[in-house]
Amino acid sequence: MILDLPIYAFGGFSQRVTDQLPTLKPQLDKIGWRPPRRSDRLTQLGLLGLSACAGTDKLPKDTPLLLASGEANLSSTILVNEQLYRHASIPSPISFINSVNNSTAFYLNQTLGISGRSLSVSRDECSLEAAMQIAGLWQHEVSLPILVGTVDEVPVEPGQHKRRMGYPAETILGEGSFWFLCGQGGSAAVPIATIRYCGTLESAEATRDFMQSQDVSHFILTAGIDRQRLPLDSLPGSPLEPASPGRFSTQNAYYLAQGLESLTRGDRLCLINGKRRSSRFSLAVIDKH
Amino acid sequence: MREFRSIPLLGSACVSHVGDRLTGEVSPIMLHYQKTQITTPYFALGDDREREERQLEILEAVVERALLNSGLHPQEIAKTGLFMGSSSYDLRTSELAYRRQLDDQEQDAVPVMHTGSCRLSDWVGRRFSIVSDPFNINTACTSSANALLLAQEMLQQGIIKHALVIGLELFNETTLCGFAGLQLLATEHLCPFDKEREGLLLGEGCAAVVLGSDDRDCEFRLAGGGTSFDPHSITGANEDGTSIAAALRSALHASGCAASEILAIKLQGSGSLSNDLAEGRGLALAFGREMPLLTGIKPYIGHTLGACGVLELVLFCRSLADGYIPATPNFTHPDPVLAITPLTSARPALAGTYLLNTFGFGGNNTVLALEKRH
Repeated sequence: MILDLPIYAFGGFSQRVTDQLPTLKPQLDKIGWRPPRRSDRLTQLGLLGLSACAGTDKLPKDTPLLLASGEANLSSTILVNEQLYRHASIPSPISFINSVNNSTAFYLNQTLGISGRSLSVSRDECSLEAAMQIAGLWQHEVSLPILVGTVDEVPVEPGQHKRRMGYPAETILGEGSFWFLCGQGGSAAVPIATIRYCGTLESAEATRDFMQSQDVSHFILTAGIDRQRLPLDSLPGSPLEPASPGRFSTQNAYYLAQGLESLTRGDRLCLINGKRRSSRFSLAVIDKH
Repeated sequence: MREFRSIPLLGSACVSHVGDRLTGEVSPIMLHYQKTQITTPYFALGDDREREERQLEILEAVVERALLNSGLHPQEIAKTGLFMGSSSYDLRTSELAYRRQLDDQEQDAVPVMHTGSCRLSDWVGRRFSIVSDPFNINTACTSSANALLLAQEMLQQGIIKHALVIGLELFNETTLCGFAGLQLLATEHLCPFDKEREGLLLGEGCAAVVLGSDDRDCEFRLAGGGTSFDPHSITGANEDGTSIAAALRSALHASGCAASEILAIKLQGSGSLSNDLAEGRGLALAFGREMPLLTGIKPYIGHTLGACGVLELVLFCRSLADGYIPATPNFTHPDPVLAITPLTSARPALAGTYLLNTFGFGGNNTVLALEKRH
């Protein structure tokens, strides 16, 4: 899908998680927003990510918000299921409300003071791509910036979460939230990059051919890609290999942010991502300005 | 939101408590959920809620019929855009697995074993050889209505030529007990806009529609829609009706219709007091003295949450195709505060434009415009 979606600002927050789930309070104390009362950890992560993205503190009231998440409100859903099945009790109203899958987007809109169109979307590890494709549509419908973000969390028992996700025991987990101010930034705004294309290809050969045709200068393979199927030295362009943020479903947003940081004007990046349970490759092509 | 060129409905299928027609007795089953001592009427699809396979069987039957009705060729189906809306997706699979592990006294039982919203749409893609990447929309009760709106936009902009849009909501204990915890469930009847309203009743269902971008002469076309976001409360729209009115006006603008041209509105009508206040006042703000005919479908099938956008569209279209705008069961006591009177008997369905309201948790309000051509 050809997008031609400009990016005006980006930023985010991520952290690795080992045995203990770290509190977010020290980081939250440093940002300008207070998480809404009764909101959960996923919303807190979203706010930490937003605080690192320039311009999110002064958005037009009608700014649309697109929130992409692989696992969405996992901690709250786990809590509700434990209340139900371990303790045979009716879930507390707050736990249930926070398990509803658009509650995070609601809290983020409310905190930012915006009330444009709001949508939460999911496509496992390729959720960011789904949101970017929607933003590519919406930019033709509204003369406003579009806030595109990701968020995924580690629930309270990291070891259990590895079993849930089918990750090997030695996997280092991560969590985080990244945001991209896209769309129409107004006459004074200068895009720092443009997402030209976002789509899926069936095979390694098709991926190589496509990258060749797009004349990419750099590429990033996200952690989910089988490097035996797509060896680095078989691909056109220079590989970028940012340090791993730890594994989480929307970690490709971290890789995109890292790529945008390290590219120089005129570079063209191909971000190659993939979903678990799928052999296809998801490609995003981004020009740095 | 910019104006839409209308989009034909090429095919559809659905299953609900009353089947695929809004006829017959309204008779939810009485569900006794012993563990948390909840007893509630429920609009079920059957009594096999413990069977894990049922979700795929239901999904397969509905999607297969919708694709067949659409007349699309296999090559067209392969390239069809895939959109899904649900508030719970396959959460039931995780519930059953967790309960089994706990019953077996497994020390390391894992709650919510199956995460993400993509497993069912991926399965649909594999089963029906659809190669496009799915969009799984997570906006609670407006999920499948927003999936419809997104599909329309993609067709409108020429990104895809056809779209398969699925609304699915099947029984799960998380949702049922969550609504019980919020004390939103009625004890007997779902009677929206009735002074004696008790609250909402839940139901399950699945529906699919196939949309096209060609000019085929279909009886029904989607004529756009409108949305609004309401930051007032996470559990429902502002009772002053302003955000509902904004969504209604946005849908009128998108469809290019004046308020006076709307023949009837399928209400959200969830049966809760706060919805009735917000929706009633929103309708009054948007339509004033030009109030169209109003009707609610949920008393037939329950509130099917994320599925209701597509499911109520399909059921409403079936009624209109059969020549009538359905009546609203259970409405007997007008509420003087709102002065909203849903239809108590069916009326003839004329060609023209209808609106379908879908509002819900998380501040999302969505209104779809439907055109009946003949």
